[in-house]
Amino acid sequence: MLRPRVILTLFWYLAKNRTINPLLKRRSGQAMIVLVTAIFIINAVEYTQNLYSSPSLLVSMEPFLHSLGLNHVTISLIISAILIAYTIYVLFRGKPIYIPEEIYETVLSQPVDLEEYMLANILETISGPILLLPAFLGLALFGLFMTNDPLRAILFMFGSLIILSAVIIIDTLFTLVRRKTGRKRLFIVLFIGILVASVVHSLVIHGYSPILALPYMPIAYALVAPLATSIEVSQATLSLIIGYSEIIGLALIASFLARRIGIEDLSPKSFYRGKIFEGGKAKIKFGSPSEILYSYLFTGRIFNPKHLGGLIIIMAVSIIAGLAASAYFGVASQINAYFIEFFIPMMTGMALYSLSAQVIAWDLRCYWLYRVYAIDMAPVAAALISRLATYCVGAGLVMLAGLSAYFHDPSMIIITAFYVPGGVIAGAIQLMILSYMASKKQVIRETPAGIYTVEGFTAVMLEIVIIIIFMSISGLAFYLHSISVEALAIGAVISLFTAYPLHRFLRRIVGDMMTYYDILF
Amino acid sequence: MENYVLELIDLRKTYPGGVKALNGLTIRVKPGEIYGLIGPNGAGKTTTLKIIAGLLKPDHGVVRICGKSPVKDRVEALKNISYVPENPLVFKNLTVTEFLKFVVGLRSMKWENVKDHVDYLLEGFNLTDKKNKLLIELSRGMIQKVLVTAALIVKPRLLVMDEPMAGMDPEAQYFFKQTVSDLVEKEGVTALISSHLLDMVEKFCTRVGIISKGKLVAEGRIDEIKKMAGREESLEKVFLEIVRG
Repeated sequence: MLRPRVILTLFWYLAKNRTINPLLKRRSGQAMIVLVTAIFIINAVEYTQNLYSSPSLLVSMEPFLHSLGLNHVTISLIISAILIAYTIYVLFRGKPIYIPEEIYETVLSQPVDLEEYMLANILETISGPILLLPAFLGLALFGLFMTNDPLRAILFMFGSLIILSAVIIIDTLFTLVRRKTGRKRLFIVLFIGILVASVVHSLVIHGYSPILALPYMPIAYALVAPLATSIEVSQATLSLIIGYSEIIGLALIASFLARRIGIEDLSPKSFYRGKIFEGGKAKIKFGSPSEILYSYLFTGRIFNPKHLGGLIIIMAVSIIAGLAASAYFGVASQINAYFIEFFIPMMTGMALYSLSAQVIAWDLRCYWLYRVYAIDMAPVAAALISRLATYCVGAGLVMLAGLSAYFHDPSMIIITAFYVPGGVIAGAIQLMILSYMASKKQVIRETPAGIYTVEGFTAVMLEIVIIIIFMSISGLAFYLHSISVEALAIGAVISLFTAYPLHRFLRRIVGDMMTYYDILF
Repeated sequence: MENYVLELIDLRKTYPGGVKALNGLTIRVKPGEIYGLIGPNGAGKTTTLKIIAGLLKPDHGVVRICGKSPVKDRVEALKNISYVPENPLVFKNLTVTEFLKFVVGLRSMKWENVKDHVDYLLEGFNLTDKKNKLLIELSRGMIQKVLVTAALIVKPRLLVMDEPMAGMDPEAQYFFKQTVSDLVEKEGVTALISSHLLDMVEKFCTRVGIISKGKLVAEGRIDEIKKMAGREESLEKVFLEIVRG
């Protein structure tokens, strides 16, 4: 027999711990609320008084998106397809349901039924992101930047959060389906069937198949509708309500399945405490401490067959996608400046930010080891800067390979060179911010889905730094590209030559910061 | 038939990967005992305590807490115990008071009914001025005291504690022992304590079980165990002799 009072107690304190207290009882959270409110009031005043002189970014981008055959419906279909693919991944993956260790130890040893815990957790999962709204400054700014409309920006923020809730609910629901129903194969066949049928149908009709809409369209549409200028705000609000209704429906099914859960279906996941390097083979290597650290943290991790193979595959996919897009939709007559200078760096920057957060989170697990054994933190800083810069260059290379293929312009690949010093600067600034912020509070946290993320205000700062650097570099590089290939080549050579002295200079500063500040775990 | 607060009969547990943690462990704890569970690292102490706390399921054997099984009748069985884990992991963004209210709420108890006891325990552990602090702001030792407070306020029938005094200062250790003794004598609480602090176990526990390789290798009052080993030395030396065979 379920006890509502226990469920509500669990929900309330889970929400307090994860979202309410970090915002209301921490100064960074309070500052964020003030900042977000101020930005919205200023923008709302500007909007109501028609102070915007230029059209929104989204309006400027529309012709280009249309040239790619994209509109709000097709973009929703693509997002729906991604969610279908994620469902298949969850069904194939062999993991148990992870829960943070502190919940495992302190909550599950209380007289709480596992179903009660799952229900409270699902409730918190759905409502958590809403309570956390003010922390999503980046999303709010993105929404404003795209639409110039504070109301749409708020709706977009809710829409973005619905995706977060959807991913967590899909993860929970289909992990339960896989472990508890014995119908794993049926669901795999069903979702793969939907995906295959929609691809075949898309090829036949030369467009995006509506079959993709089957399971997740309401959720995907709730994300896209607020940004679509052709959709009224009232309609966008309605689609948001419908999207959240689907989330609640999925949550109810998950709650039903949670009845069959056993204690050993839940696995505690520890993060920092006592962690050392995992999963690697023991190797004996002789050299100076600096060389060993650099090799372990950078060259050994990056330049291995797995990573290089992965990069080649992703580049091949990017090139094929670029060629297919140009064959399918035709090459756009001219490069849309907004698209190049803002949208691509922003999206790449966001992807990179998420990747960096994972990388940094992974390294922080054994940070104590460096602090104890490394005589000097500069080699650690050097290796981490190199690694983040390499990811930056890799992301740029993949993005530019696809663009080169799409525009049939191989010279675009040269732009990658600009990301070398840019990546060094971005990596160094990221590490500086993290060293400083991590000395004040714990900045890496683990989501219920087992993904490591950088927390609130720190995340926003990292995001802004990466996006600004990406935008500046792309802006400069594409400007030179528009002048001539020779100008681009000269700029690329200068970029490459500046990267090394920059790296040497910044690694010392970052190393000193890492030595000076104590990281809190 | 004798009444036991805790019965563990022929428990076996093998972790994925083949590590055999428990290999036929049998322990019975009577009401009003302070039972010390000692053993070398990897002997199966924490696994045993986690099985009692409903965090792990045994592969084989019977677990009964006041006659209830935490496997089959989880909620009813766990109502009788309080568990202090080995690692002091708590909800870091809750204040001390919020965390204690949370635990009280999960047991469907009223805060007003335990508030005086909470104040007494917080004062005894020197935490009164920290009660509105977030747990993230406290040291490991302080968090340990909060966890012990949370276990003690609910006055369970069985206290299950894994290294409860780890990180505690001497003053808090003294207060802890006094409080547990009081609860045992006045409230009829029973305690099962796993610890490596053999001096503490020798002076504090009324009965001791020595566990090695997942099995109970010796059990009894301290004097009985010493007699069993044939020497009148400290528990530490007796323990080493028994464990080393």
